[in-house]
Amino acid sequence: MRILRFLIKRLLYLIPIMIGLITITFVLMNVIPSNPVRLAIGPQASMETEERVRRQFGLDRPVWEQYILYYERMLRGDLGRSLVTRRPVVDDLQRRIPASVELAIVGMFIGVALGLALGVLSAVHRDKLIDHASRVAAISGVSIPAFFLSLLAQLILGSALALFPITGRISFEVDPPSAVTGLYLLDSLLTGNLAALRSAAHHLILPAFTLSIPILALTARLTRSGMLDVLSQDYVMNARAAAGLPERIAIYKYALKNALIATVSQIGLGFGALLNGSVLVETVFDWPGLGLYTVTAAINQDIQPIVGTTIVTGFMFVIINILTDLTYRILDPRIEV
Amino acid sequence: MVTDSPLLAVRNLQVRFETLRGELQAVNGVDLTIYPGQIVGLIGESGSGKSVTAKSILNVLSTPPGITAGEIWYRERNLLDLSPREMSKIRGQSIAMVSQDPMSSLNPVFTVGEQLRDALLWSEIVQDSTSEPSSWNLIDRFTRAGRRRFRRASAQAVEDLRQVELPAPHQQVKNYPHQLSGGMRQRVLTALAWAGQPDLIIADEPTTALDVTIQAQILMLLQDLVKTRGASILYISHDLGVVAQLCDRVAVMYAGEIVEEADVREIFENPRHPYTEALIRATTMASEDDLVEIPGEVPNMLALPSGCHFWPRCPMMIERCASDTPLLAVVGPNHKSKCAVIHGEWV
Repeated sequence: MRILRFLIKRLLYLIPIMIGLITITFVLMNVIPSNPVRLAIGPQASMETEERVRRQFGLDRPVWEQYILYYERMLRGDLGRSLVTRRPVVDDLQRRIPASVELAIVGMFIGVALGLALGVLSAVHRDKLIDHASRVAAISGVSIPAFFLSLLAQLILGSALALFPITGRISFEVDPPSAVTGLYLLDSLLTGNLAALRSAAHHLILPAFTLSIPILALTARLTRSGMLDVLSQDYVMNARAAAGLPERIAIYKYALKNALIATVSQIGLGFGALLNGSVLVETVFDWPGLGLYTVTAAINQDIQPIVGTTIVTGFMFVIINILTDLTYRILDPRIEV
Repeated sequence: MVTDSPLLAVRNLQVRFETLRGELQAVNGVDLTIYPGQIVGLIGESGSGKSVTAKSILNVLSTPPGITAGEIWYRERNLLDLSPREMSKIRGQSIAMVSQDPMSSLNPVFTVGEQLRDALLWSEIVQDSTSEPSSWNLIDRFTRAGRRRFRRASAQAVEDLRQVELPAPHQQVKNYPHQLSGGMRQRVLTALAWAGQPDLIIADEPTTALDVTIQAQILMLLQDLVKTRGASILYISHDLGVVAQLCDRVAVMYAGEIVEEADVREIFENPRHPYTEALIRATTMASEDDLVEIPGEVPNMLALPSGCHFWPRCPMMIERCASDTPLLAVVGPNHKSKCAVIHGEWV
């Protein structure tokens, strides 16, 4: 009940956030020194054509009217057309969002799972070898740029050892699974297409792992400090001294749940780092997702797709933050909604 | 009663901590004997080593890790020789602690019912030890035996909370610690410590954070539990009033050492160590006149005074006190004191 009320409230907050986001993209579009009409029609077109297209898109009207028109289009789900792909941005996004979401989910999962394990181990074995090793790994993880790590992974694991494919989402010899959700792993499972599952998973490992490194590092550091903090609390000592519980339970049940609260509340921020990384990782691995799409659009001054991905990314960021807050509240009963 | 063999016998206990500013001797040569059914009080100022003594008996000294030497005999076993695995079977099942602060000693993110249930479950797992107890059994809800044990422990948790006189126990089990008052939490902690049916409870200032009426209730509860279950208590406190009311025997600690030990009447009527005298005066006179305090400061454990550690604050001090170390000597029936000065003479 408590949780449901929280969820409804937070989803209602989504409305002003989206309004703000759309407004900001509109302002940015109007202040950047670029002529979208000229870019669309090309340098050879005449002045008359430019004038006509300008009228056609309502760009000759006053700014406030354009703002309202912009909203109208948004509400209709019309995000304009990409100059590069020559397709409506919405269609492009529909194709690319699942690729990015799949990569992000798997990357996030790897990062959080390994990070938690590493963090707990280094707290329990404080100042031992594993603690030092994990510290070095974590600091390298946050300081090595994602593109460098991607290239390194491609060179060593992809090229030299030939363990994984270097680019793409699925092998050319394998047909992609019929689209249900657009997530290849899920779709191939649902349709029982084992060849596609194998190939998709094989292609996913390298980029997902590279993408997970910053999250892994963040989670490991947060979990370690959270665990150390909790392990010195009276209630952990008491679980052993009064209740007589074995150390394993005192650590992995009684202490860990408390330490998780601090970690989870920060993972939402880590998702921002993940989105940043995905732009680079997708570019290097030629992963047909939002990151690559944004980069291509930015290089070509293709404004409509940039606006589209900005809004979609903003939306995902808000949703992830709602989810982390939700987990946080489920873990910590002291927080009133 | 005192003819039985002791339940717990601490012999020459030493606890040292390595700190950045040097080695700290928190407990120095403590002897302590507790017989079955006895309530022994251990008193002293903050930092005198009471809690460290208590925690080292259960081997739950946290950070920094202390270096413990000496002997801690529980029945026929020296606890300092036990493996961690054997020690974990002693903790909670034979010796359990009721801790200092009801506010911080319960886990904030589990219901009190679950915490008590886990203690009861584990105690049952240890006791029907056909095999080595494993943590796996504690979370086992998949086998029929596991589910049965689980249901039994859940019902027992409600029953135990009723025994510590917690109102509406079947509802309280679903509550989190922050939803309970300090007194209620202390009752839960008491139930938690009794869950494994230990025969020795170490109560580390269990009432300091509570107001006086609740404090009295908790003390009555402890006394009742001792009577009905026939266990012993090591009661650690700086509150002489509580100790006078509750304990059979009292040991006074100062700067990591026991300076006086006697039966409770004897120590209050005939204190032999100036520190004990000062403590008693500070407690009993306080309400009538001005506050009585012990002059001077609690000693710095990294740089203890030579000779008798109490001499800088002692009204009876003579020259030899600063150079010679007095011994804990028998001064009366069941009465020992670590002061060598009688009528201004070193004896």
